[in-house]
Amino acid sequence: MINPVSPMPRELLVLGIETSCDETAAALVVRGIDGRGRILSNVVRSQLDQHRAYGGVVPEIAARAHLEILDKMIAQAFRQTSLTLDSIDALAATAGPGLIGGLLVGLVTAKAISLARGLPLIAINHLEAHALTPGLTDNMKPPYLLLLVSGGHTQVLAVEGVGKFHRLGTTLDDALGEAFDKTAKLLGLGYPGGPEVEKQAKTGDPKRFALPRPMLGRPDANFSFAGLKTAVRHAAQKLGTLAAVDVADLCASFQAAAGDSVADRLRVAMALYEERMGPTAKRVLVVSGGVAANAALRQSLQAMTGMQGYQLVIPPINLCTDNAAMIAWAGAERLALGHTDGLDFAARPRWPLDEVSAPLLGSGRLGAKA
Amino acid sequence: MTTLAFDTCFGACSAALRLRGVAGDWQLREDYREMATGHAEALLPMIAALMSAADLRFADLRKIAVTIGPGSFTGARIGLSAARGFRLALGLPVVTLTSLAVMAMRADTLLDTGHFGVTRAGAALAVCVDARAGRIYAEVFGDSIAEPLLAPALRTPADLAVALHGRRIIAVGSGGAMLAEAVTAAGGEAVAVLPGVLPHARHLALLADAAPLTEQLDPLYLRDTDAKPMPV
Repeated sequence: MINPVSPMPRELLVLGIETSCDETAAALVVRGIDGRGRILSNVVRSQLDQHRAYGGVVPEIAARAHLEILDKMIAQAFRQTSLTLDSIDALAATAGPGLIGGLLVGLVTAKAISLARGLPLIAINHLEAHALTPGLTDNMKPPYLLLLVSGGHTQVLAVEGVGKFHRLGTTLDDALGEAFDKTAKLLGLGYPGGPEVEKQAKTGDPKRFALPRPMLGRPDANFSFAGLKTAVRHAAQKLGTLAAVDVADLCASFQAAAGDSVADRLRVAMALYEERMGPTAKRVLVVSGGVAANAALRQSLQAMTGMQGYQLVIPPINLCTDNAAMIAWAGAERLALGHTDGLDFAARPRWPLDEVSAPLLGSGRLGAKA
Repeated sequence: MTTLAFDTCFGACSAALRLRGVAGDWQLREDYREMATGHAEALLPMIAALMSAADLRFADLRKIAVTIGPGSFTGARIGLSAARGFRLALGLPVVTLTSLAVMAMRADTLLDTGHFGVTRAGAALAVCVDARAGRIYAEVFGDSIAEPLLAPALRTPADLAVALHGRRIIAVGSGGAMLAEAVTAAGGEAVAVLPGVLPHARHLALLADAAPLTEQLDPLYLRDTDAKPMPV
C-alpha cells in the first residue's frame, strides 16, 4: 500500500528481521535525510550446526530454530545500541522468497510488534534486499547491473529503482551455490560445500581437467551449472579412488570453469543492460549473495569488469550472505517512498523480483529460496 | 484484568478479549473463523479489529494467552510468534494452554447443553485429534481441565485405551471415533461425540484466569521432524 500523503524527508530508524532460510537475524539501521545508510546493530545466528547432519537445510528444523531464538535476537539487536522499540520508525521483515515456516515466524512476530506499537510494517522481498545492499554499504543507488549468486539463486538483473527490476538472465537448472554444494557432496567434502570446494581449489590445478564452460557464447544471459556438476562426477568416477590431489584439482577445475561461464554470461548481460538502459547507462556491476564470498569468483569478476569498463561493487561479505541489516535497509528505502504493508500481508515462498519475465524451465524450482 | 487470547493450532483461527465492562461485569469479545490455511494473514487483523471495537489500547492489556499445540507445526508457531512479538513489544505476562485443554472446555460447554445425550459427570473426557498414520494427539481430563488425567501425547488409540482401562470415556475431536473404537474393542465403555470440535479463543480467555504465568513460549509439537540424517 502507498500512503496518500507523501512523506516528509526525515531520518528513519528501522528494525529488520530475517528468517527466510537458515540464519536468524535482526538489525537496526538508520537512513539519513541525505539517503545514506548506517548500521547500528546487526546480529545473525546461523543454524548450520542443526542442519549439518542432514547435508542441507531441513525446513521444519529451520522453522523451529527461528521461533526459538528470534525474539532474543531482536532484543540483542536493541541491547547493542542505547535504543528501544520507542525509538524506531518501522519494522521490516523478510516475507519471501524462502522457506515458508521460517518466513511466517519472522513476519508474524513483526506483525505483532507493529500492531502492539502502532508502527508501520514493511514486508520485504529478500532478493530486493540483496539488490539494494550497495545503497547501504557504498551509497550506490540504482540503476546498476546486479549479479545475485547464492545457494538458491543465480540471476542477473537491471536494478532500475526500489521495486523496479528487469531480469536479464537466470539459471536454467542449478544455482551456482547449489552447484558448489553438490560438487562438494560428490567429492565427499563437508557441508556447506561452497567454502570447502574453494579451500580445496586453492592448492589444486585448475587446468588438469578440461571441464565444459556451460552456455559459452550463447546470445542470452542465462546460466546453467547442472552439466558442469555432472562433468565433475564423470571425471571423478573415471579416476576411481580419489587422492587428495585429485580432489583439489577437480575443485580448482570446477571453480575455474564456473568462473569462466559466469564471466561470459555477464558480458552478454552487460550488453543487454546497456541496450535497455541506453548508452549513458551507469556502468556498475553489483555482486551479492553468499557465493560472492568466493575469492576466485571475485578475482575473475574484478578482471572482467576492469576490461569492460565497469565499476565492481561487492558489499562486505557479512552483508552479502543472509542478514537483517539489508532487510532493514530495504525497509527504510521503501518507507522513504511511502510504501508500507498491511497486517494481512501473505508470506510468499516464491517471489521473483521481476514478476513480468516468465520463469524459465527448471530455474530455481528445486532451491530452498527459489 | 484485560486478557487477549488467541489460537491458531488447527483448522480455526480465533481471538478473544476478556475485559471488565463499565458496570464491573466481565465481558467477552471474540472472533472465530474456521480455515484450513491463512491463519498468519487473518490473526493480526482479527486482533486489531477486536481491540478497536472494544475501544482498547494495547497498553490496556494485562495478560496474553496463547495455545502452544499440539497442532499443525506451522499453526502452533503462528500463535507463538505473535505471542512472543506481543511480549517483546508490551512486556506483558503470558499464560499458555494446550490446544486440547481449550477444546476440552469447549466440549464441556457444549455437552452441558444436554443436546448430545451423554453424561459428563463421572466420565473421562478424552480430547483426540487425528494425527494420521493411525495415531492421535490426545489429552484426557477428569473433572478439572487444569489437572489432566493424562498429559498430552501422540499415541495409538489402542495404547490410550489400555491407559484408560476401567473408565467411562467420552471421546471428542477428529480422533475421538478412533479412540472409542479401540476402547470398545478392549471391552470398555466409550462414546465419541463432537468430532468437529476445534479450539476457540473464548475458552482460552476463560481458562487464562486460573492458568499460571509462564516464561516459556515454546511449542508443544509432540512429534519430531521427518528428516533423517545422512548415512555417515
